[in-house]
Amino acid sequence: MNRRTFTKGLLAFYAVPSVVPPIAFGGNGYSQAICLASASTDRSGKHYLSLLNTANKKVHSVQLPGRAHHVISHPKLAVVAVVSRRPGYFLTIFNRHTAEVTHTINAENDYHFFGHGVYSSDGRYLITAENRISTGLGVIVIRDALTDYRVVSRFPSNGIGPHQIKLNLNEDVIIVANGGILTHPDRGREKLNLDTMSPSLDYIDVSSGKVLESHKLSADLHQISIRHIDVNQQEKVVLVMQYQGDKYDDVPLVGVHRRGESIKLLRAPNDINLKMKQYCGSVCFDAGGEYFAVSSPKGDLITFWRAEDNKFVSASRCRDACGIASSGVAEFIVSNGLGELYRYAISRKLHVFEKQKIVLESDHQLAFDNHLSLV
Amino acid sequence: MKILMSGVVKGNRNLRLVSVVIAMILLLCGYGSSTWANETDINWSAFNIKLVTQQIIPGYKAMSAATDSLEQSSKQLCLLKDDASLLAVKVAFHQSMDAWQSIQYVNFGPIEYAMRSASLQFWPDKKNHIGKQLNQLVSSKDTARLAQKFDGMSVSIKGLPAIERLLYTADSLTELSQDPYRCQVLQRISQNASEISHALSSEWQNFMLAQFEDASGIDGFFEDEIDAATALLKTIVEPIEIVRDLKLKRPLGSQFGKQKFKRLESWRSQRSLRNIRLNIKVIENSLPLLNSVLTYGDANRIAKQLAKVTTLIDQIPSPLEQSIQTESAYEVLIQLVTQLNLLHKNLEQGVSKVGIHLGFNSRDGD
Repeated sequence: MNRRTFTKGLLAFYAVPSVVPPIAFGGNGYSQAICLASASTDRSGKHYLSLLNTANKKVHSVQLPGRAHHVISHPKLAVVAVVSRRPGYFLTIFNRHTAEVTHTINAENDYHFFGHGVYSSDGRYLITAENRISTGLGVIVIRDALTDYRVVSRFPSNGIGPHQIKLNLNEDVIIVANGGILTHPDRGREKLNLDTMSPSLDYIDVSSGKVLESHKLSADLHQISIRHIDVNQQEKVVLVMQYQGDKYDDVPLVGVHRRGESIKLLRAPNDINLKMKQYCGSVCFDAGGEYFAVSSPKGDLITFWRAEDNKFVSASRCRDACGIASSGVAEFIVSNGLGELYRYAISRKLHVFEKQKIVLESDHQLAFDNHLSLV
Repeated sequence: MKILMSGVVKGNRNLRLVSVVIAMILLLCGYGSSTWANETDINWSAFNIKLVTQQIIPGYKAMSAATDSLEQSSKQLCLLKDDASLLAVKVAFHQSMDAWQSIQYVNFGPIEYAMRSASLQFWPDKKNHIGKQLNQLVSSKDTARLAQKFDGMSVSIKGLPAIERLLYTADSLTELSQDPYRCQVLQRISQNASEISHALSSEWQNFMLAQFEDASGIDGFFEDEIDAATALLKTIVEPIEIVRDLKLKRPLGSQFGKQKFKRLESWRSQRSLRNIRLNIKVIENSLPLLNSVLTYGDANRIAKQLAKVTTLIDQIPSPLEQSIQTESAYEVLIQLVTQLNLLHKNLEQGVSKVGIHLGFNSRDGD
């Protein structure tokens, strides 16, 4: 048996990629220039916003006051909003061409950020998931970019620990992954309610704050924290989760949802589901909304799924990979904790993928943090 | 080194002499010699292949041999039903558990296939799956479940903890001799452990070794030799967290008085401390190889820290199942947790300095 059949046979859970040598953007076969952004940390523990220009392969990093989580791209302007990681208090707006800070926003008294947010498609409103410290309840906060990000609206997230949030296509509904885990800044990142946690996926009317739909998993799965979501052009929501229960419990970690239905849980084949190590870190639809990619950094694993029939497509070993952005139809860019980027392209006919390392130049030895954003 | 020399050389002759002497001592101690790594020219491929051929493959071979005798002695016990045969099975069980505790650190590759790790040792078993499933199987008397249906059965009862439950009861010989089906269950589980061990041993020799010999080969398991070295070093460093969190902190509880000895691993066979000792022994055994890639300072720091850890382990009276109830041992166990933290930190920092980063997103997610 040669190594190829070994990889296919014994470790069939690693789909065999067609590995091609590392390339720089602009090299043969892939000329599209893409700009990305990620929070990052260097080896000495300093935290940055990293802007990645794939045309010149450069990584430009700007130091931040603390560790950030998600970088939110402004849909119209060369602006990015960097949200601090939970429990974080800063939200910094940068001009991404000059890397200059245009606004420094602190969480209001009694609030902290949870690391995620979203701009409205006209770029006017910035919406963030926050914690009201005194009550421990999640809050959705809307700020107006036209008035220097003054808070214009605030309503309950309908749960504890809201994490990633997205807007529906009409932008009249905000979709919230209420992770369910109670934390308090005085206790750092300690999880305070694992026995009673009750995560939910909520749809909330943006103008009134009214909860339109709220979906929970069955009671026996209440320790599966719903944390990251994405939504495609058909308004299918994909949710990926992190399990807080016993080590050997083999629970589903991926789900899909459509309005008016209940959450449909998906399982990768057994060995792959186990390989996810009860933890998914990020999820992203491709530009066509046809596939979604899920990262499981604890298992050094990326899995690909087809949206149409919710089928698992393939899996790839990718060391410490977590951030995912889509670079096109059936294409993803993945970032990892070693400051590396990989491009994955899925063959829509064969459902195999091609993986290429993208060579970058950086002044710092960086670890890219959990999320990668197209900017 | 350069900093030490240039800092001292300025001005003072005596100091210059001192610095030369220090430099010579350091050289004699091995600093700068080829024993210690120079960051730029570490031969990761050689490191990987040595670790696989000198440690991992022999580890799986030992596991195969031990579980072979477990299978044979179980068969013998079911035939002879005497004290001597039971003792032989217990000896083989201990040898198998010794071998497993010495190789369980390898958490990638063939062990990930078909739930082999949990099949060999389902632990911790917080919900008493093993007890429930094993009782149900033993009382079923269904021989088909031991034959064609065995593969589909719960992994919790397929490995060493289930065997431990059958062997370590107040009157296991009577139970096993009066109920032939119970003894057949023991035999079947032993056979299963042996089958998995043989598969692991063979797959590492026949397939995995090649992945390290040509780590950057097309369609391989790894991307390159650094990727392969990272996987190997992770397996050496990460078990410290398992020892600390699952094998120590969980049974210790929040304070003295809250300890629960039944949360210790292998408490029935009273080998919890031995398991921990064997887990740490893996790091000790890896030291010569680690020294070939680490800087002198880090290698030294790690060796000293490891010595602190083993000294503490040696201070704890065995069996741990009893000593955990005493305030004096409890105190040492708490110190052990702290020293394991430091060992983990030393190792992580040491390998990081030579370019191996064990994980960022995989360790601290959100």
